[in-house]
Amino acid sequence: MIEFRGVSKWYGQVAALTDVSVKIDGGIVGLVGRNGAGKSTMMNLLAGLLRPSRGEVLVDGVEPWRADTRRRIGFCPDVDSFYEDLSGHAFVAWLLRLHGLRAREARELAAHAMDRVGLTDAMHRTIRGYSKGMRQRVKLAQALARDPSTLLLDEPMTGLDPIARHDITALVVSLHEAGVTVLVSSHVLQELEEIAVRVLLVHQGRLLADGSVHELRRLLEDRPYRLLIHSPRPRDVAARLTAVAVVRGLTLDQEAVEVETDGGGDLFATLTELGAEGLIEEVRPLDDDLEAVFAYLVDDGLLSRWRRERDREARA
Amino acid sequence: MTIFGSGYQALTYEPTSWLRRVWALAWLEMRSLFRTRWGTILFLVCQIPLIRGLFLLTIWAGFWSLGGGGGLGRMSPEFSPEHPAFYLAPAMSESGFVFVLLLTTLVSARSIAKDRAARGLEILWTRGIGPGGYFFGKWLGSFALVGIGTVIGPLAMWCFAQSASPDESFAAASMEWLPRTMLATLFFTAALTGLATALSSMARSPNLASILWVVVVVGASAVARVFSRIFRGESWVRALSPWDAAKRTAEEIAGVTPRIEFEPSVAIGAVLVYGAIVVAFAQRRLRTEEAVG
Repeated sequence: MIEFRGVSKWYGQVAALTDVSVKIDGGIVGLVGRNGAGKSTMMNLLAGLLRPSRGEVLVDGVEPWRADTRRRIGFCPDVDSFYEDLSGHAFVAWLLRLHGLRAREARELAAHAMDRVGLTDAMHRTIRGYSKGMRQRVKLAQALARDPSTLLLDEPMTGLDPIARHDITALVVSLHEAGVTVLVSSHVLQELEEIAVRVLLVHQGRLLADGSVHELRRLLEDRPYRLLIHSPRPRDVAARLTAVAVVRGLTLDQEAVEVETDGGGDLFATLTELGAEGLIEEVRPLDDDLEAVFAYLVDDGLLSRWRRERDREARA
Repeated sequence: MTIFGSGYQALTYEPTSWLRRVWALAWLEMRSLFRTRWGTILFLVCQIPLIRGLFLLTIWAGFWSLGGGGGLGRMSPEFSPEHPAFYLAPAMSESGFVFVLLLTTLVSARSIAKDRAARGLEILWTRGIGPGGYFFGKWLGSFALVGIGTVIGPLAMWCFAQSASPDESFAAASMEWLPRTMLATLFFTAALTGLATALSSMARSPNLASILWVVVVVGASAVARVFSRIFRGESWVRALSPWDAAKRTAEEIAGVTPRIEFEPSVAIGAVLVYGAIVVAFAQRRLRTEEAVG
């Protein structure tokens, strides 16, 4: 169980977190926000690396910087914090020894953790020769090597290929099913959609929203977005799209048409027809990243509307 | 399903001593140079003063067996196993300076900087080992490695001399100065590796830390020599060099004639001041990076 009670954190004159209160009883929870939003500060507070300037941070009811709490927290940082000339197995075993485990016990547990993340075959190779995905797995192995009740994963999917991503997702889900509380931070919303049932949106050091992924997705379905359609005959495509009701605007150049739309069935039916006629080479969404989502949610005031609705529902 | 149902193994946690954790850190640091072939070669090269001492001992053993050898001892105390300077030479002689500087540059001065460059400090501090323990472990590891040539080696040389000496007189005579000599070389190694490790925490990269250490040791020694000619008779000037200050303090502990004469109290004071300065800087640098993110 994780709890933030009115937590603020200042770095000198800069406020990294402002009055954050949230309680996580379990499950897989996503922490999303732009770079510099305060995600890493929250992670560092939970890992016991920082202390709050004001308020309380609790993991299983205890402050995370206490020695007896630390062993219950598995922390997978976002950086490649490695001794390049050690093997993956030796690195994990050594980190276990820093917990005070004896060498033999540490080696056994490290081998088991490497097996859990699918690195048994490569565990005796030096980390220098590991791919980005393998490094991510080693980080995960060191976090799992103890039996943590809380797992903090800072950008765990970065650099993973689809198969490794699937494996790590499955592993995280199995940990959740085993009762581990998992907090995953990411700036890619799609990554979290696959595993997290609940998301926390952090923006400029404040907790903007706390709700299910489905609620957020529902909100995003209605947002206007832009598509770039590559075509051998863009003028013909533009002419056909002007007749579609949900299209709010069109920008034409020699090779492509940029469409601003509210979405909806009519547009996709028309695009299917155009594709069948050989008029479309590629359709690419232009603003499906988190920056665009945030711009939509934060700048258009939709989050505050969403929060008001949630509060009203809660009161009802 | 319990957590163990998903493949976890149960751990029986017992309170473990802080020293055991620190030793795990120190042990890794101590072996860091031996993980590459070049590192091992460099370590062996840095043992040249020790090898020279062992070579001299074999000559002495020959003389002793023939019932002589006193003549060589009168040439220079550094060449006589019957004199404490012989056992201080691997660390504090002119040739020792080069090799100890090389070893501290390669090990102590890089120890913390390489972790900082890899941004690995945070992951270590989630392990129940704080910045203080981390620093101590890093220092202990590099101290143990450098100490092989400056403390363990000379002690082994004494044991060899003891076994080769013709009678009990060597043991009886050397017991009067051996503990102080060992304490002196222990202090000298600890002070230099401590300063280098603390400097390491200030640099952003291991290469920069190595350069910084060499500049501090060689640069300060050069400045101290120049200033000592300008301010003749002012003993504090030589203490501008951390190396000279540590060496003078060690010579005072060992009770040998100093190569550079200046007040031991000034030397001890300088070592304490340098120690306090670098530890204060290290304390500021060894904490979680506070950046909005």
